[in-house]
Amino acid sequence: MGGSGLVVRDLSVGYGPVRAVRRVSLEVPEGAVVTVLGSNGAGKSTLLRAVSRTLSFHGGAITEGSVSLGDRRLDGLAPDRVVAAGVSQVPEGRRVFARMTVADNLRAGALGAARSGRAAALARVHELFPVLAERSGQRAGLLSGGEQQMLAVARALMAAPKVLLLDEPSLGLAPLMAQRIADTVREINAQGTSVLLVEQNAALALRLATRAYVLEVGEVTLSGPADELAASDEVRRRYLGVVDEDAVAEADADAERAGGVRRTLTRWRG
Amino acid sequence: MSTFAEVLLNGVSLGSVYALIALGFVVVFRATEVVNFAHASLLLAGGYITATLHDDIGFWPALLAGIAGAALVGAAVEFLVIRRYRGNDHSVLAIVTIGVDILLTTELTRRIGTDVIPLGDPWGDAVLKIGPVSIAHTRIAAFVAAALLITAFLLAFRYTSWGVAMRAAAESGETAALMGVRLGRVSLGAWAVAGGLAAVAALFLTVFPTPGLERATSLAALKAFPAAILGGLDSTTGALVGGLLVGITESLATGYQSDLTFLGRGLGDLAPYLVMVAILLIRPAGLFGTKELARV
Repeated sequence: MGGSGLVVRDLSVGYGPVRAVRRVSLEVPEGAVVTVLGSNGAGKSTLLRAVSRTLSFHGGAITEGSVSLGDRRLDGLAPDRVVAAGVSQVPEGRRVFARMTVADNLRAGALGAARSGRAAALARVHELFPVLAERSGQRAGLLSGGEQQMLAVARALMAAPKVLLLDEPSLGLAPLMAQRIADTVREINAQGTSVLLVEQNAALALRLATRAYVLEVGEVTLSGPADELAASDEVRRRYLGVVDEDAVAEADADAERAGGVRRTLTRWRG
Repeated sequence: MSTFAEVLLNGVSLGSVYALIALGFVVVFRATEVVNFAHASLLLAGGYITATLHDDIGFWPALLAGIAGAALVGAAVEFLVIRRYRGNDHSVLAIVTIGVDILLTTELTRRIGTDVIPLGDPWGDAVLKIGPVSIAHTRIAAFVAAALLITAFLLAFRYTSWGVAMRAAAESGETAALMGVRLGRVSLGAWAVAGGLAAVAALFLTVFPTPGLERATSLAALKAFPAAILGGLDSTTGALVGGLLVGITESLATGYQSDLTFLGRGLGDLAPYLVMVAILLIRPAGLFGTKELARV
């Protein structure tokens, strides 16, 4: 795939004797939005931690496999080198620095990147999220949930990443706000940043992504183009929910718009 | 009245020195969540370096050497000891620092022996008289130096990248790592800064009216612990206010000792701890400390 895409190959991760991720392979081609779906405990966050090299904070380690960005191996690097290589993560639950101002949060986001790009990154972020410019002197802990999520995304963008990792950006947000975040992700992607989106909100994620992987108990059980997955009975029943007719209808519409309404899966493992 | 003014001025000066020590204590706690019991020995190390060098290279270079030396010792403790235990329980680390403190203090007191070593400061025992109030030059120098250092530190903490990295790491190490903050470097810097500040404090704890550096100097440094704790362990503002409170309390208790003889002797040494206990009874997190809040 693409020259500087993110490639995860046969990755296994263990927390002590517990194996959280088993031989997972996935690719985020340059300029794509790829989503990883799965329920609680499926290993989604573990996967992102393995890419960002922050497993050690949770007592975990990669036991086999590799993570690389283009030709560059990321596994084995320190977290700050991963950021410098061009991979930034928006952690689950936002994790803004609550006692610091919005402006300082953004400065913190730029710490891992080259000094020269900071002004441009700040301008880009303020253009994406005008509200952050208005609130720049305010403590981040006083922002609303949606604003905090915007700040968390903006903070990650300050490092001008090639690949943005998003861990459940819609978690705990009102539907309207979740939609806003989704629009922003689309915009960020349109500006040339690849996105790896981890979500429980499958309807939202499948609308954004071009390619999707389904993770169950640490293994990839399903993968394929997002529209095909959105149309598959398995995903509809498990992740879109039979009662959520609107989402299904919308996913269907999306799939038809994309042409080729194949209801078969390209790959079906496990 | 003039006694009161003198006592108060001395208290503020002494308090600003305690604030310097407490600040180093708080910086280490915020950056690494370790309660650094080795802080007093860093102070002794800085003072010892200045005391042994000032005859040969002059006072100011010796002071700089003391600051650099204490910073180096602090960094070495972080690099050689604290780093090996990272990821362990913070209480384990606190106990490790007690071990480091015993090692360093034992070696330094062996070298110092029973001597009282002057640090060769230029102020001597000169006294400034303003009307009826007289105050030692050393006390003025202590206050000015501490005020300058603390201001510089707070500005750096607020405005530089180093400060942003430090505060980010203090709030959440993992999230800071995701931003590309090198936690090892932050922790190393904190220990070095703490050592440097302690070396300056060592100077002002040993100048007039104190005879010089002796074994008991590290005991005087211990008074910065109640300062840091009553201010709130994780608050820089708290360290300053706590330092001043402890300094003024000690100065008042010593200055009016003759009126307080019914309480026995040596009240000046005891008073800071009494104030600490009284404040913790009312505010368990200290004056400016973050309360532990958790939702279940």
